[in-house]
Amino acid sequence: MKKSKPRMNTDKNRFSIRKTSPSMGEDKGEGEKKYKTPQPNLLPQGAKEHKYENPVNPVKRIRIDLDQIVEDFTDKLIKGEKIIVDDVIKKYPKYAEKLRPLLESTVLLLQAGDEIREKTEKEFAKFDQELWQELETKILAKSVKAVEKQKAQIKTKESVAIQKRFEYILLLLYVKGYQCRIGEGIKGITRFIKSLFLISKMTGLDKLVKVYYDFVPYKIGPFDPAIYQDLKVLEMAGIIKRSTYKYKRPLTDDQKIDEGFKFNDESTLYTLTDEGMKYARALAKWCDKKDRTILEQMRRIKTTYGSAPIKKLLKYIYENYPEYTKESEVIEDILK
Amino acid sequence: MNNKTPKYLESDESCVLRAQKNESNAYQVLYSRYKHRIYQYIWLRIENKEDARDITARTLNKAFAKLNKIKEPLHFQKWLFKIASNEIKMYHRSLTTRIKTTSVEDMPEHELSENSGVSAITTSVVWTISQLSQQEQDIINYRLIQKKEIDEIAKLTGKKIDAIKYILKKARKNFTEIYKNKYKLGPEKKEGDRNEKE
Repeated sequence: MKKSKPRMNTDKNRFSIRKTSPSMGEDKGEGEKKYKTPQPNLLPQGAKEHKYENPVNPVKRIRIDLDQIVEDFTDKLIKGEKIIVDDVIKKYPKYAEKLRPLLESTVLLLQAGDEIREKTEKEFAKFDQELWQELETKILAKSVKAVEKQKAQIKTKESVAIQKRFEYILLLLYVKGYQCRIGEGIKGITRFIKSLFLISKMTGLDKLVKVYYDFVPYKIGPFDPAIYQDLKVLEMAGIIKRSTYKYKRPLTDDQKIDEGFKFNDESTLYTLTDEGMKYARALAKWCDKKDRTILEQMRRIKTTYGSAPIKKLLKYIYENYPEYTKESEVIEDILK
Repeated sequence: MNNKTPKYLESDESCVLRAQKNESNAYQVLYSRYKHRIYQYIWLRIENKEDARDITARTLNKAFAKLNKIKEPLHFQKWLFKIASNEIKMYHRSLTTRIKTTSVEDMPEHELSENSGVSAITTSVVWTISQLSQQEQDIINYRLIQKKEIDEIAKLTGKKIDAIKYILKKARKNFTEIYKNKYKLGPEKKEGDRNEKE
């Protein structure tokens, strides 16, 4: 009868060690018994044990998976562990010849990777802002088109229903405020953001549209960056006007807190343009028809909070809506 | 997304869905998340590093313009790198149509190093990577330059973990061979080491 040969491992990166193999003349039963005796696990880390069953000549092999060793080494280096090639080679001296170049090239690649990352990040920083502005202009152009489409309704209709969330910005700028004047502007982006937040929390008017602003806790309390985008789009569409002015006097507490001021070192005043006034008037007419209290509620928010000192405004929000103060950087200053 | 989830922890999928509704902030999140990775990916694959900026801009412009057409927002990352890869291919194709200039292989190494602005060793590594197949280059880049986990690479490339391991093994082996043949690999051997071997 033809004897079957033990399987040969052809992969050059895998080495087999014959651990126990009863010789041909030995009592097979005894050999099998010896083979079945439990052995302590003496395998080095990274080595895989594979058992090849052969009824004629049972052979147990240890397969050293060099790729796994290199992968473990890579993982450790990536995690920042201090490990050198020689440490690994010492564990597997028999495979040093194969293992060393693989480990060394890994070190080389990781070191080069660090340099490449540093270099590319520095290089990118030079045109980062310019590239984003280029992209943003194209992105906003789409939104401007949408706003213009919405605005086109006022040519044919006297009153226009509130459909989009940016229309709250127009209404907020339109209604009378502290100075009892229609179209009174709002100073500072923080007052704007917080007034829009209070509209949703105190009046529930946000339910007039499908998607209102989604406020999350941030550095100065409730925040949604989409408001920044909408203001920019409305400005591009010629509906609102943003004027900035620099203070020569020493900074007041309010300016230090204001999100826009922190960003630009400038105080901002938002007002409606003539086009914006026409649009807002059409929206206001619709509101009057639907429910007389809508404009009244908005006016109350604008009068009370739209021109309040920022510290006072934030104190009110922090005390009444503490869930939005989690990320606040000024909470201690505000609530003291 | 509820109020408890800050937007900076938002998933790609959610960002893409918001971007499709024209929220520029969602675009900004995606831009901040991928700008360096895309630039680095492109930088590694082209010889003239000055062109990397233009290709990055073209890639991001194209991606953002076509964001509404993305079928699987979950795989935004894979989709974005595919666009980058196509842009690189187009760039290389356009290069071949231009008048033939000195190829990178013929270029003296000090010039290569000056061009890329990195150390000579890194330049040699970049050159060696460029000699690998496209697939091997990608996997080496993800695993050893961008330091990603194998399962993350699998998700990114849409391949199975075993396939990634196999390509990585091949890539390492080829890289080592090419590097060993062209440059010297490993630290200089001390006298003691030599004696030990002898």
